[in-house]
Amino acid sequence: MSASRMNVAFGAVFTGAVMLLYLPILTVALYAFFPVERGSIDLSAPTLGYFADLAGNVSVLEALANSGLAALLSSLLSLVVATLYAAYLREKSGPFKVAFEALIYAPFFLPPIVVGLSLLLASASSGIPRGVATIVLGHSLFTLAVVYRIISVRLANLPPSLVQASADLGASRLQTIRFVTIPHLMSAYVAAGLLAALLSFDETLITALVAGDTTTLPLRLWAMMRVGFSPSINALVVVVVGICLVLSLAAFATLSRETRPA
Amino acid sequence: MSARHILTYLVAILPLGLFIGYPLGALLWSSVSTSNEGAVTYTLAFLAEALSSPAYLAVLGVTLVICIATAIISVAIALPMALFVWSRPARYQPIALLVLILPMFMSYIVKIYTMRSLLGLNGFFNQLLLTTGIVDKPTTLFLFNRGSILATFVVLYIPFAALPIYLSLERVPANFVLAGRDLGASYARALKDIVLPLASPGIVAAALFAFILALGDFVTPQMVGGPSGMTFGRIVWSQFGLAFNYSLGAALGIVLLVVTVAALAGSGLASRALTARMGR
Amino acid sequence: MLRAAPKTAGEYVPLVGLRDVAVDYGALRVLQPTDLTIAEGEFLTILGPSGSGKTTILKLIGGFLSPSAGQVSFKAADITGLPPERRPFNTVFQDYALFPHMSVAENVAYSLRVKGASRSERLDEARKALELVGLAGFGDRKVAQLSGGQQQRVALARAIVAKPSLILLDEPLSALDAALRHQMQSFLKSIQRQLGTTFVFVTHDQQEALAMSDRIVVMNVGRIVQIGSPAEIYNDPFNAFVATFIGRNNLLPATPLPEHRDRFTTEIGVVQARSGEAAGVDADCQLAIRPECISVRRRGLELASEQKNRIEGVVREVAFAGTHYGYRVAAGARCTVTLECSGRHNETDGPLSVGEDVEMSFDPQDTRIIRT
Repeated sequence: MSASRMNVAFGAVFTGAVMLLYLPILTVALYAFFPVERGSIDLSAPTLGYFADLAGNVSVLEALANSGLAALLSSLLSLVVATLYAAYLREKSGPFKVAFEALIYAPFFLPPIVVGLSLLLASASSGIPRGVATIVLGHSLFTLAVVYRIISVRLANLPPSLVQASADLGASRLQTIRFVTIPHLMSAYVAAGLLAALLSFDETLITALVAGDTTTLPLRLWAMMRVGFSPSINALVVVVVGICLVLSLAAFATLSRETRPA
Repeated sequence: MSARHILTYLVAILPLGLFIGYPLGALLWSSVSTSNEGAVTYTLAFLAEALSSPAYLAVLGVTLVICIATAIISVAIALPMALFVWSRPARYQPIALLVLILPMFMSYIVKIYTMRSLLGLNGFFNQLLLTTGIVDKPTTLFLFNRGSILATFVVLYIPFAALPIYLSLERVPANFVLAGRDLGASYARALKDIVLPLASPGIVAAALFAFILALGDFVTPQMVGGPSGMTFGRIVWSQFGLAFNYSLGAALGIVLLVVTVAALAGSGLASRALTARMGR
Repeated sequence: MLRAAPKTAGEYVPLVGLRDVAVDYGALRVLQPTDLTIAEGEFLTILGPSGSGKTTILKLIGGFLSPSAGQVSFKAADITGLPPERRPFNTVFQDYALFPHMSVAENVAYSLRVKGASRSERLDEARKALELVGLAGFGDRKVAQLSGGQQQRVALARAIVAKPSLILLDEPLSALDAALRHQMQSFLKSIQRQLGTTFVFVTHDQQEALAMSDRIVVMNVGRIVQIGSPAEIYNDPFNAFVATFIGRNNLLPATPLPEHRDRFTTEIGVVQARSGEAAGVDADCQLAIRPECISVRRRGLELASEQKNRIEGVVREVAFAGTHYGYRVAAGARCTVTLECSGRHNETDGPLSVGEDVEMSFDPQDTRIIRT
């Protein structure tokens, strides 16, 4: 097959799949802005009423607060831990490093249900009650792999000559970290932090097992979905997708600006 | 190794051991023990039940079939998508890549919800059939069966499959296709002989991601699978809900863990073998 | 492997032709309408700085790029729209583009495999090609185990194994260090003679072009400036760009004297140029004198040879270059002359130093007129 024909075929698959991935969400989002009567949508009277309903829904607001808190705390925690491990493991090699990194990456490669189950049983056997703390812990374990990966790759890309040059120019170790290492890592931190917050915000399966009586936005949405169709679900979908979109576009912009050659 | 090195190593690995090793240990421990009013007894009965009960094995079989199908279909769709993005001119590539992987982050639970609305009684497909007059009342053909689970898994996990494929394509030098064509290979032949073997680690990783993510998923089968869409993940989940049997749940979780580790090991071997063999 | 004997100099059989070929990238015209004929069996070098369009021509011949206008032909056939896989040409890429998942022999035999040759034939031809490039016994190695020079030879073996009508070489020596580059130059040239295959070699290195080519095509900003043998290009540069891009030259703005058409007024006085060359030049032009054609001596010393053009000046810079001394000499009000003196032909009494007064002379025969 000729190059252009193959590309047309690839393009067709791409377009079809993209429509499959985007159109349902756009349709649902559309339903959030128009009144729905007996299954049919009235496009003549756009409304923000469903969003107003959400703003008055205490359980949704509580779930939103929990999700935000978990995203913030777990991304900060994994940033700190990932930095320490990236710095510690940078000069290491051999089976020690392999074993270490296998542990760091394990929660990302195991099915979430296994990770959630293990944490649930650990909290049961240690007597730590399930709640925001266990959610934060679960999310940190899961996001640590991603954050560690981004930061350790960036750290490995720091040319040793920059550190040597800094020392040669009379900087102390702390000054070198302050003026050379941290600026070099800055955009990696921003991207990794955004990505971690996003993964935490969206996490459902581990959360379902370790949340106990606490609820997060995905769990709330799941519970609402089980009850049945309602326009306020559509409004909540718009809110959730909006937050995910902002976080992921910001992460993508940070990463792509960084990888573009200067 | 000096004593100081060993000490720092222990200090460094402690948090990981505590927060990853201990929970996995708890999983293992729970699967072989049961406590009754403080008295702990050790038993292999739960593991034996998880591994020998015909009901569980049947569901495991069905789950594996669905997950393998998910992996194959996701890769079959993600591969041409990734090739399309990869063959765009350099300045359009970032935006095409963004379009490709953005759905990955557009909320897992929302995607299940939208698939449910798409496939449901009032969903898009039923509306289509009703309008075209193929059926005169909504059909449940699309929802609450294994097919609907598979379809939802595929929609959920296509972006997860596409990303590793794209990343491995990105490492194939741009002029390899031209070099192959210069030597007389058609575009398709150059892709098959040169690009795909070099991208095969990414393709294997893509299949692995889709497989593992589908394997442990219990929300999707519950929401779109209905009563007939029982999967292994749902059985495990139910042990912590209605059935409230931690030990059996842990034992079933161990089965999932073993399948996962086997898939990871198998994919490592497959990736190496594929790259080597396809070069010939 | 060995094909017809190399074409003798008189035999000129057109193999590939470009007719009015132009290439646009959006609004940018990277190749102006261009004509070029490549003769069978020749070693043709396309020489130019980056952005001159030399690689564009290579891509047009290889079929990696479609022209925006014009026609590419092979023998009598129009091949403008033919994809690379259907052209009987093979390419040695700048970074070699060797496939890392194949062994050396598999790389070399790839074009035969695509054609459906049997395994034994493939192995046999790959072995012969590897022998020819001096890599006998390397067939089972991995590409990554080879040095840069060896990879270069594998890329060449891969390009010649299918006996193409023409081989395109895209700056293949640019990644090698200087010593290896010189070695590969004579090696490539000898392979080309042995095979008699047409080579189209793209480079920005003028020394490489002079050393290897039968003909050189000099390009600049999207057009062909001059085509000729290395000696023609060096001795008779068509314009100031060629005069300074190939070798070094002193360029003097000049105005012809009305009654003597081979004599010119310049900043450093009246200079006589090669006789006969001035025919038709009555406007302002430039005179080009190669640094190695200028003799220099301390002022006041007796002349060893009498030459017509003489200038006085003061030495500003001295650089020892092993085979010769390079001097920059200020002459006239604003003019600096660059010249080279080999130790043996030095007309001075030992090397000059900065600040010395000198007298320079050069033969009218070595003074070229460059039209502006």
